[in-house]
Amino acid sequence: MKKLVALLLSCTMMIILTACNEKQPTSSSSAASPAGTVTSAPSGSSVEKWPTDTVEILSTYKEGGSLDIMLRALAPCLQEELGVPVIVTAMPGGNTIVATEEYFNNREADGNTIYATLEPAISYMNIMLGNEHTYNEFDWINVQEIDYVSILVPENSPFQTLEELLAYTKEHPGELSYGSMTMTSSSGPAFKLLIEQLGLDVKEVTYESGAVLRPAVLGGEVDVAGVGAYADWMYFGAEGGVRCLGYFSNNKLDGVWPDAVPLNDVTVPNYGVEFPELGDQRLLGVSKEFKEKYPERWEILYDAYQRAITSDAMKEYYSSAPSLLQNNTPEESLDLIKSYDSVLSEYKYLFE
Amino acid sequence: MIDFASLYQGIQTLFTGEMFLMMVFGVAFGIICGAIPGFSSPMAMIVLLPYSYNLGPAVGVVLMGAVFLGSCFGGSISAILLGIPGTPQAIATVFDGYPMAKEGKANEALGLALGASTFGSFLGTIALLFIMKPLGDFAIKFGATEMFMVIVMGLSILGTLSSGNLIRGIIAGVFGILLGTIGVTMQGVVRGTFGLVVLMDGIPQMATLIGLIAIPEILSLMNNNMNAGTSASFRPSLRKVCAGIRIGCTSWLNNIRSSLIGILIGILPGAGGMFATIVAYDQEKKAGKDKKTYGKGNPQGVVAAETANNASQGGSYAILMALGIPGGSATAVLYGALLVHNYVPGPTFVNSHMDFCYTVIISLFVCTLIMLVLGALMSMNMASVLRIPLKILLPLLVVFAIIGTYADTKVFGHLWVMVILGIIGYYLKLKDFPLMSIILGIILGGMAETYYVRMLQIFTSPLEVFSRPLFLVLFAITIIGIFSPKVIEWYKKKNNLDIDIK
Repeated sequence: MKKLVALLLSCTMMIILTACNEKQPTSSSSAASPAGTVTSAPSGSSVEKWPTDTVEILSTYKEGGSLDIMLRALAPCLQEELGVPVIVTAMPGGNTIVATEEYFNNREADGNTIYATLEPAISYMNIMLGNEHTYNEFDWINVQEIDYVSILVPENSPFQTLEELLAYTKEHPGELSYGSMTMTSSSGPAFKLLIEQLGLDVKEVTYESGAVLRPAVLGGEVDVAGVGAYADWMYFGAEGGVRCLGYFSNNKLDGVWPDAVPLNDVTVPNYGVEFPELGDQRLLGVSKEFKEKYPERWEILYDAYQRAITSDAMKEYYSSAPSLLQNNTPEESLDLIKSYDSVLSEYKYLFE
Repeated sequence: MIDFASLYQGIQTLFTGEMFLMMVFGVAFGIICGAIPGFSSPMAMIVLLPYSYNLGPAVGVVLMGAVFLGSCFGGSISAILLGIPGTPQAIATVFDGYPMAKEGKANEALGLALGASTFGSFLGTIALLFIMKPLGDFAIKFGATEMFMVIVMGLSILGTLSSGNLIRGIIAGVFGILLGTIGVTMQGVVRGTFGLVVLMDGIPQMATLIGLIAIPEILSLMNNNMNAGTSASFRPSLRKVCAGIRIGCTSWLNNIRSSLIGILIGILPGAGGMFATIVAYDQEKKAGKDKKTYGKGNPQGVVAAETANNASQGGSYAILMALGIPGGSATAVLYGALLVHNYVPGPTFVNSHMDFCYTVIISLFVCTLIMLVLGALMSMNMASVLRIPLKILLPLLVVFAIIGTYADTKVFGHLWVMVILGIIGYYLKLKDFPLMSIILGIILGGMAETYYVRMLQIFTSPLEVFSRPLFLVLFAITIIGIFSPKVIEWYKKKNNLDIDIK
């Protein structure tokens, strides 16, 4: 019996340590190298053999949101290319500060942890919470998705067009409820701006994530909701219980919500108000220190990522909204983030 | 209604050797992981998730489901044997399971938990099979107002947990609620963090559970000359486990009531199994005959908690499949497993992949049977932990407490939170404050605030909430739940009826 207890204790200890440890040796373990898919390191004696341990994608948002969904779809493809397990760790809280501090203070800059977040969260952290970590401290692998804020109504809503909705909202102050997310998502500042610029009097309802806001609009708790046009299309589809009337993009979005229109198409002629393009940038990056210390690993990681997002599995995943998937170089990604940060800085009073 | 052609296809996919092996492995892995204090269901699933990528779509998702199911029961093992919930949802199992173990009835208590888990799991899965879509539709009717009322219902349990000392119970609950306000609000206001980043997401759940349950218990045992009522003469007994299983799955009224509570709370995003077990326990205590014995080793307390725990899994599956909403961390991992195979859960998911859904649902029935067999054998052997001398066991528990807290969030600072809560908890335990009330306050207080603020944003007048029928029903249930025992007591006294209602 003592042996059995000792065995059980040993097993439990091993499992715990496996869960805690992000460094799972995989060289001799077939399980850790799934289905013999090790394809990461190019051949050649001068190239470092990396990664050999689990790669973690540290997400600043909770499970079930659009960023989490994107990362969970990416993880198996990246695992296939890197040849080691790739896991997603959701570390929400503190308007993304908890995960950001954790990334810089407690994760080695060795490439085994990839940071994933949204812009405008980085701007919000800097502008409102005074967090010292800015987008310049990262090498951005890609702004993988740009998802313009949607204007959704439940399927049974009487409003068939954005024009009707805005006109009704103006004429009936205080009647409709507009649900948006917190200010670390584009939905928050976008709806604040819409309400302010058009002088709308609505009940503003705040939700912590799209995972909570989507069921709220589906169930009719709010009359209008703003999440992300592409992700909404992937989630709801054409017959999923909601309709999208418009979005914060200047151009018609390809292949999604055929009846929806760019917001400015309605507001410029009717109200003389023009809105900037507002939408979440869902991005992945690593600290600058990592690229400086391990340039070869950066190359391996970047190449693996490139293969992952161009894989058939990712194409299949994005098949209902192909335009959502972006492939930007690190420089282009940084420019996109900077440009969005400058837009948000212009309206930083909205954060307050 | 059931689409029999798809059901047949789904069953055909399920019955293969590989699938069966994965289910056995998944359930066993889940039970072991669940039994480890601090090792929650999502953590167990995350460990295997990367390996499931290369399995077939059905096998990978079924494996995750098997782990989820096994860990739901596994959490009760350490709750009963050590007084430390292996998973957060096993918290209410501690109330009566641990006292039973202290009385030398660990075998029976484990059997009760297994029998009740089996019943809850079956009923939850039956609900999933027959009324998944209506459950999903019902779930989205729960807005902020209804969720707020459900949480108020949960908070009303604070009195129930106070074991006769209502004032201390309320003080402890309010203290917990205050601790629950720590962190950054949705409006971006930072409260009570003392500038510490580790507190910006509030007091972490696992650190709370381990700090306020495990550490005070360990310190108490150390202070009590290592006398925990455990004994080297304790003998694991399959016969006694089986006797417990029989009672656990044939306490019909309790089983059915707790299952319904579990399923209904399981479908609510964010509420989760832990909340379901607490509400079910509270309802059982209110309905049970011998109220004095709850919290002191009443088998029906274990049955209520464990039935609701596993039944809530059916509810969480329903909302995931019918609406594509991952209600908690474990279903978020399942969501990820579905995405891997290009199944994007959403409102149209069930109609598009009916046969796949049936495969998953039927696998839960099979996994439940596997859990019944493996659970009896494994829990009986795990009961041998009671024979380990405390001078060896306690240091091991401290190690588990530390590792479990860290493994949950992988944030080092949360260890300090656990230690500080442990010291506070030990002091308050000495002063006879109910620590469970603090835990409930921390967990439910924050949720209550979120929904209350949202309710205020939606309704211009607080009275408007009474125009919502579902809110009214929940309000009535809460009021009846709070006051009915007192009214009945008053009535019995008035009529000189000798019935024990306290």
